[in-house]
Amino acid sequence: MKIIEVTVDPQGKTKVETKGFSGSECVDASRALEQALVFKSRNERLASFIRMR
Amino acid sequence: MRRLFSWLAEEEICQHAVHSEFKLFTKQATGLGVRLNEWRYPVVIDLPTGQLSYDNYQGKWGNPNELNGFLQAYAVEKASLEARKLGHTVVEKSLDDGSIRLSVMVGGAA
Repeated sequence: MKIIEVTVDPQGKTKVETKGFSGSECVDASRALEQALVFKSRNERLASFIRMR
Repeated sequence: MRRLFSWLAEEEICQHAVHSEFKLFTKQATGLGVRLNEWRYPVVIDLPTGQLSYDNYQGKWGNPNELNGFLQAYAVEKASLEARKLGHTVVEKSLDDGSIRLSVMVGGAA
């Protein structure tokens, strides 16, 4: 089974790990989720998410 | 607090978060203001950039752990939502060090 593990520490910092992928699959799989989550920095994470109607 | 982020995560505007101009101790800030538990001033989020503005006077006007908890809960809710949007199944587990681990089964459960 292919699994992406996202660990969020008590300060809100995140780590992404992949399991069960082969070759470049893991990079592609985690990239898609990371881009959706925008887990590059705390600021970017909030910017990508909170929108007003 | 978790329900607050579920509401935010579903793009609902709830009564706990208001978009306005807020007066902090040292400055004004415009954005989405979130009231944290026992904080004197709101945490103001600039929506286009995600920049946080707040005054908690090194913890005397607001426990930093409340802000950390806010950010952790937000990250967990956001990650879960986005993973589910991609069609994946998500299992959440609390770790002994206070971290939260999301196991995202790619493509859903086997």
